[in-house]
Amino acid sequence: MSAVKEFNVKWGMAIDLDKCTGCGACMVACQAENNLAPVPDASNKLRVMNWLVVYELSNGKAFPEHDVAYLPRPCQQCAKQPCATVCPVIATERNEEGGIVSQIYPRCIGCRYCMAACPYNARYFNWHDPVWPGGLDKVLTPDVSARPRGVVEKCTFCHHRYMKAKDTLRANGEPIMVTGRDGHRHSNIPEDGYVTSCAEACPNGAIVFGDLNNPEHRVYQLTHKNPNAFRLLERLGTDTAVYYLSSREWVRRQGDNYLAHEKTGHPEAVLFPGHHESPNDPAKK
Amino acid sequence: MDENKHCEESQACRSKCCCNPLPFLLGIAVALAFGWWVFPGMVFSQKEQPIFFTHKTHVETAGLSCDTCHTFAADGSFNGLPRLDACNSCHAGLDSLQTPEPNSSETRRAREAEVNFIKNYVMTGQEVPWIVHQKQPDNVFFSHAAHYKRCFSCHLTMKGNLNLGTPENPQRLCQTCHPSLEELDKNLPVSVNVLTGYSKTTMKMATCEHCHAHPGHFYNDGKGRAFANNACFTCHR
Repeated sequence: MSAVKEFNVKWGMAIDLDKCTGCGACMVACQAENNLAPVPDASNKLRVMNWLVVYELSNGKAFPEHDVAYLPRPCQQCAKQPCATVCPVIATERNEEGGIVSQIYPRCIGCRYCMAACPYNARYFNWHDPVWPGGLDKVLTPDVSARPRGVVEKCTFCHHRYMKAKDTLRANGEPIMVTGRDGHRHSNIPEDGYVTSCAEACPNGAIVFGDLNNPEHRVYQLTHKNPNAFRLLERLGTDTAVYYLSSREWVRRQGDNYLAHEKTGHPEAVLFPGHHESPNDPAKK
Repeated sequence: MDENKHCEESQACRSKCCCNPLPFLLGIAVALAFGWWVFPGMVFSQKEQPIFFTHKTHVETAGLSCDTCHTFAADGSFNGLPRLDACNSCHAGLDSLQTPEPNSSETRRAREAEVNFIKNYVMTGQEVPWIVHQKQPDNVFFSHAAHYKRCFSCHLTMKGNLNLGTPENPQRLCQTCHPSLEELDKNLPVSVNVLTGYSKTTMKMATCEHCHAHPGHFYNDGKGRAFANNACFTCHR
C-alpha cells in the first residue's frame, strides 16, 4: 500500500450510537446540502443515492432481551483508502490538509472500481441524470456542484463548508494554521466554524465533528482513550476518520467480523506493535 | 490463381493513385479549411452584451480605476460586476447625461447607448444582465480572497519578471487571469461553447496549474515559502 500522507489536521467524526435514535434527520440534511436529486425509483436499493445511510443493528435476540441500535454511515475518510489505490484516473485522492478524500466528478470515468474496493459501500454511482421536480432546483446549494449521469460520488464531509470556513479566515486576515497550546500545528478554524450538515442536523447531538488531532476539540476527547470508541472494520487497517461510540458490547462487536472467541478492542496493538497506545487493548488487561 | 489476380489488380490500383496526388491535396485542403474556419463557428455561438459599453471611455475619459466598479466585499469575496447603484451615481437621469454632445457617428453612438441605458435600466431599476466572460464551471471553487491575499503579498513587491504590478496599481496581476480591457472601445463579443455553455475566454485548468503546479509553489518546505496546494479538492468541489 502506498505511503500514508500525514497531515496536521485530520477532520473526523465521533458518532454516539447510544444517542442515535435512527430518526434520519442526518440523511435528509445530507441530501439537501449536497444536492442529491431524488432517484426515479427509490425502492430499488441498488440504485438509490445516499451519501449517508442509517443502518439498523439488532442483537438478534428474542423479545425480552431484544435490542436495536442505529448506525449512520458517511464516507469513513480512510487514511489508507482502498478506493484511491484502484482508481485508474486519480479522480479520488487524499492529498489536502484535513485528510478528506476528494472525489472529482469531471475526472471520474465511472468504471466503479472504487465502489468495488470500498469496504463500507460508501460510494454511489449516478445511474440517472439528476432531475429536481417541482422547483426543487431553486433551493440547491450553490457551493456544491451537480453530478451528471455516469460518475461515482460520495460523502466529502461537506468539503465546501471547509472551503468557506478557510475563506472567512482569509477575509479576516487571520492565518489558516496556528500553533496550538500543545505545540502542534492546528487549523485556525474555530470548532464550530466548520461542521458537517449531518452533525448540524442531529437533534440528539449524536454526531460530533472536529479535528481528531486537536486535543481541544470534543471529537478528540471523545475518541482518545475511550474504551467505548471503535471504528468500522478496524482490522482492515484502513485507518478511518469516523469513530463510533457505544457502551453496549454487542454494538461494538458488530463493528467488525469478530469470531466467537475474539474480543473487541483496538486492533492496532496487535497489527502494529508499539504503533498505537490503546487504552482498551485486551492483551494488556 | 485468384489471389495472384487480386494482387495484380491492387498493385495496379495503387500505382494509379500514386501518380495522381491531386485528390489527396484537395482533400487535405478541404479538411483544413473545415477545421480552421467552419468547425469553430459550429462549436461557438456569439453573444452580444445587452448594452454598448466601453472600458476605454470609463478609464480614460472618466478617469476611473478598476476597483471603482469591480470591488471586493467585506468578506473578501469579489463582487465582480458592478450593480446598477454604481452606474447610477453618474448616469443618474436624462437631464444629466455624461456623454458629450453628439457631433460625429462615434459620439452619436455613445449618446444613444447612454440614453438607452438610462431609459431601460436606470429608470426601471432593473439590473443589467451582463454576460460574464470568465464564469467558472459549476465544479470549480474559486476564491478571490485567497488569491488576493496570497499572490498579492509577494508578486506586487518582487523584482524582475515575477513582479506583477505595484500595490497602488495591481492591474497586471489581475490580468494574469483576466483579459485586459481598458484599451477596448467596444464590447468584447462573447463566444459561448454550444456544447458546454461556457464562454471561450473562461479560465482553463491549465491556467490554474500554471501557478498551482509551479515548482516554486508546489512543495511546502515548511519555511514559509509560498505554497499553492495542488490537491484536487483545493479548487474542485
